[in-house]
Amino acid sequence: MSRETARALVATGLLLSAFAAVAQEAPIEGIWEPDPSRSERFPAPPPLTPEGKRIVDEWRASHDPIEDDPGKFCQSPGMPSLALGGASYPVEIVATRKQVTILMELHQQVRRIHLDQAEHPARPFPQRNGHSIGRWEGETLVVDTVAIKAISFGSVPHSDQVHVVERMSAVDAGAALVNEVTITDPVMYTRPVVVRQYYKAAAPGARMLEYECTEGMWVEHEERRGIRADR
Amino acid sequence: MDCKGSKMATALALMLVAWTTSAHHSPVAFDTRVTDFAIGGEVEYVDMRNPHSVMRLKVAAEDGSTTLWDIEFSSVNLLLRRGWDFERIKVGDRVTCIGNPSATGKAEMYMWSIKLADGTEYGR
Repeated sequence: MSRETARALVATGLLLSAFAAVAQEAPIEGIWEPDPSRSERFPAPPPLTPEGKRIVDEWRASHDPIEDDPGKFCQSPGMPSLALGGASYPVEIVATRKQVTILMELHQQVRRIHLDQAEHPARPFPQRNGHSIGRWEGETLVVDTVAIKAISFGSVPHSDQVHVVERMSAVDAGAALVNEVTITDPVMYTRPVVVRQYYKAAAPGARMLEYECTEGMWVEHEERRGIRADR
Repeated sequence: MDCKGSKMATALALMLVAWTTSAHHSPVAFDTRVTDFAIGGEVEYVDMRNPHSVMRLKVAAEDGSTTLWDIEFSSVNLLLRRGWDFERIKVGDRVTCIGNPSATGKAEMYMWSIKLADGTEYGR
């Protein structure tokens, strides 16, 4: 056997090992439904710092709770709220060698967890869901998320300094998934907050639905313009 | 008007208030302490959609006048999973809507369950 052939065989073996690893990690893949009966809640009231309280109070003082409801305008709360259950809507996890993708039915959100990046970019662009990198510790996926855009509304108001670490693993012989979410935000919160979110494996045949959210806004626009035929 | 007895006075008072076209409200818009508020009428408009579905209900008073009620209810995705058959809730149907009344005195409510003319009921 030539040296080149031996190298090719070794490379092939490593590749097969990598795919085998993904196959072993498959327990977190699939469709999962939030299980509020087992899940913990983000503390209410949250442990706000004086600056955090000032930010939240300022937002509340300037927004009417009915007329200025962000949900009315299909605003996704982004991370870290998305890691805390997605309301009553299912999530679908797809794992490949380079990326774990979490498809969330609520607001049709997509989280991309990069397994092929050891570090976050030096200057990641702030976005609602931030920048996520992940690694496997056995069958537990550990996710580190930064560069989350600050928002002052919702159940988890946060600054752009928020840092989220998640530990996801299948439990109960694959019947459930638990995600231990640690939220650290020195601007908003006096201490790291840990919340364990549980999911149930969806029944066989369950499917994700689309979540188009702006149809109502379009209808109201048509009404304002007087161009809606069926109203 | 098909109102539960104890809610009749409240419903009549609310009927005097103009309805709004706003299609999605914060939960604070509704009195969640009351869960069995019920009102019946004819479906004038219905749209199962996200983030919340909407219905406009034509409610007749005993004096012959009618009021349009703005009914908000759950997202189309969750209704589907709860088994609601949208083919059976159409314009012109008579239905009874059950849920939380408006917290601000408007002719609005948040519907948690619906009863059709044949007695079929869809809920949470």
